[in-house]
Amino acid sequence: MAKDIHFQGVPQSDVTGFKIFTFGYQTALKVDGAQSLVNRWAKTFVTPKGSDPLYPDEGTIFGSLYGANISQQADIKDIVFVAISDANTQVKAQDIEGMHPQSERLQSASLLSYTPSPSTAGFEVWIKIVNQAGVQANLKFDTGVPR
Amino acid sequence: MATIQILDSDLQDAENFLVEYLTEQVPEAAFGKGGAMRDLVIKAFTYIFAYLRSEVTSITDRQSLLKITDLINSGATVDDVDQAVDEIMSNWFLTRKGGGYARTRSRCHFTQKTTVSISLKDSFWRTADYAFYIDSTLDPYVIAETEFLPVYDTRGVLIDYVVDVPMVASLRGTSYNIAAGVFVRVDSEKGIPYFSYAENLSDITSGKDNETTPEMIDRAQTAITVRNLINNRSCDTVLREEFTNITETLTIGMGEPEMVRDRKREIAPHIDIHTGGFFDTYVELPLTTTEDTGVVGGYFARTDNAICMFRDPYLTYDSSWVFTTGVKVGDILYILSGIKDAPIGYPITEVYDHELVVSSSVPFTEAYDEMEVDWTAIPFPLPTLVYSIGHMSPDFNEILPIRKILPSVAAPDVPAGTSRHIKNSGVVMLTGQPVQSISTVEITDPYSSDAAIINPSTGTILFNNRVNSDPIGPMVEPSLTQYRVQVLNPTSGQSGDAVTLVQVGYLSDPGHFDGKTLRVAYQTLTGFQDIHAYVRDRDVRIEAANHLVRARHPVWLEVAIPYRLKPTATGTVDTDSASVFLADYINNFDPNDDLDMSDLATQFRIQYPDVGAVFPFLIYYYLHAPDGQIASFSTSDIVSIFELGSNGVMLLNGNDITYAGAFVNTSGALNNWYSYMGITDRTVRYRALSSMITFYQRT
Repeated sequence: MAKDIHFQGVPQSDVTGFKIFTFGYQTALKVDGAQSLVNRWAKTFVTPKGSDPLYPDEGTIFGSLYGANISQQADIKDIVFVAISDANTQVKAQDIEGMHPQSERLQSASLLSYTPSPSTAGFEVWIKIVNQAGVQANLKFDTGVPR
Repeated sequence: MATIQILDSDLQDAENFLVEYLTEQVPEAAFGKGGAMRDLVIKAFTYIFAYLRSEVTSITDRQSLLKITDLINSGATVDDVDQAVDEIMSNWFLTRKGGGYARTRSRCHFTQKTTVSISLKDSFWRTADYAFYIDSTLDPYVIAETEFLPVYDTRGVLIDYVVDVPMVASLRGTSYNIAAGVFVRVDSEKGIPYFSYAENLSDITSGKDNETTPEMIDRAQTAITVRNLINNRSCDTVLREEFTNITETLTIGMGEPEMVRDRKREIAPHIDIHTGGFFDTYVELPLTTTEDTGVVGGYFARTDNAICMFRDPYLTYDSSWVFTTGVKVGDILYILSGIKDAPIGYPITEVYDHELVVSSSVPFTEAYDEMEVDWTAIPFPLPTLVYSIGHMSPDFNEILPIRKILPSVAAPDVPAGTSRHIKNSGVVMLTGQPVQSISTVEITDPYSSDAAIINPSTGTILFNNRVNSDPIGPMVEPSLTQYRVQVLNPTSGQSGDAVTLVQVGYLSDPGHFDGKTLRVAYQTLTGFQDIHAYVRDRDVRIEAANHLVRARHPVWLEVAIPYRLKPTATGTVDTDSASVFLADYINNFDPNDDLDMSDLATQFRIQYPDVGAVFPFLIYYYLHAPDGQIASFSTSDIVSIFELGSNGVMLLNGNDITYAGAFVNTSGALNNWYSYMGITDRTVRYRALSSMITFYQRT
């Protein structure tokens, strides 16, 4: 099975700027299977749409939320829904083009929970990702503490 | 440097290639879309790879004429294509041609008729920006009084005098191709006496810009041949590359009807074979005027450097015995010592009292009169030239026993022994180069006893009539004077080897003008001698062949065209301009095509829409043959030097032309004459002066 390079979320205490993913290892780690799917889905989800001039349709609107001023908390949940749907479409297209094994192909990704945090003007999102082998993984995105 | 453009499609191609390549090279890595490896290893290098790939493509495209041509033809934009083509062409040592000078014959108007000198530094400004200069190698350029033509108005009142003068643009390029009109200014340091104005009667069209890339690519198709002077294509390529003034070439080689220089007649009587090893290249170049001055009856070195004269002045001047006493054509001049390769015998081809001539095809190996000879040595000069004459092998001495050359007391100035110098009473030799037409033949220091033929305005004797036989004289008035042109080696006519003689001495008194100075002005080809020298250069010439560059033999046309205007015509025909127009048309006519009467009529009607009809007319034309004779023709159809019975051509002066002791007054004799000289319609060039084209209107 072909391997990708593994990356992971930066612990909240170590986040600086918009760097929320890191390789975080002395040497690169190979990754495959469900974790590889989670990585790919997460990268697609947080990539701001339009940031790649060659493929401006790649990514979702979710990535644009980082650093943005959010005035209507109610809209956030809608944006998250739209972004999950968009990411699902793109990842499934990647699955077909890349001929990934079953464990790396997306069955579904859906919003598990959305918890606004009015005190921090942020939110916490849990997303459930299931591959076609039936393995489930939960992914959390937390806007953290505003500075 | 070319600009590299990267398109989205280039980036996608690059990305696809990198994915495929790396997947093949590193099969355990996942490079699919959305993965980190895709971003880190593929996308990060996509731009760089696409740039390098485009640059490689750009360089590859610019290394092939085929691809450049395809790109140009497809309308694609190719950066620096000229530079790219120049670079590719340099692989064949080809460089872009630098264009050509516009040339024209301008009509100069003068208020008085007198000999005028114009400095080559005098500039004639056709417009405020474009200047022309006199196109001549002679400085100053002299216009003889006889060249001026009077101009009258409709009432017969003299307006002025005109003369057509050759001019050349100061720079190359088509910007000097200017419509007909009057020159706006003339700058002359010393002034031009009686000059009023100059004008161009027809559009100037001969200027050429730098060679364009498509033209250069087209030329390259002939450049891929071997870059030596060995065949028609290579001669064309090399010569036109070296001499950008050349507009067209034709190379004649073994087996072609025009190749007669390789014909050997000296081997034995009645044997006439082609040996090969010779080829001629006929070139087209702009004409220019030049002049030679020589002492009539003096010694001249043969321009083909053939050492074929033999003299023994002690024998023929200091004793009563001359060569004609006992020597005949065909006898053997047997040289026992004194020159290289002696002993060696030479068949004698001509016999005179004081000279023997051997064939210029088998000349002497050394010129004794150019060797360092100690004439004071006793009893014989050193080195000693020993010879005899006879016809019985092996001694060849029964006509003139063995004798040694001695210094002459009676004729100390006569060159002794073998020599390339020739001397004929009444004759001067011209420089070795083509002679397309002769404009002036003039004795500049005449005897006062020749007052009857001295031109009163110039004080010189101007010879006005070119004839094919020895000139008759003395005449009773200047206009009747005659001169003759002879080329001793017709098979090399119109070349740097041509031995061209101009004879003014009379049939009855050949030495009448001996010792006098004869000036001959004539038209030749610009820069011809450089080309002649180039093909003979030791580092360039074909070692096993004799290459001669030549000009085509001129055929000068004269025509009077009858025409009628349309009833709806709004004006009249400017016949002066029309003459210049048709002269230009003839002078620029493709030498490989057939010129005929309808060509001229058609061009005239196209140029002048008011002309309703051009009536049938005859074209008169004059072939300046390689042997110096002039053949006059008329035609109602095609201009050709052959009388076929079906082409309307008629030879008019067959009884004035001689070949092999007989008149050339039949078609068969004409063909034999041509065959001897090696000329056909391919090797002639139509030429015309505007003054030789006239019009008359019928109502």
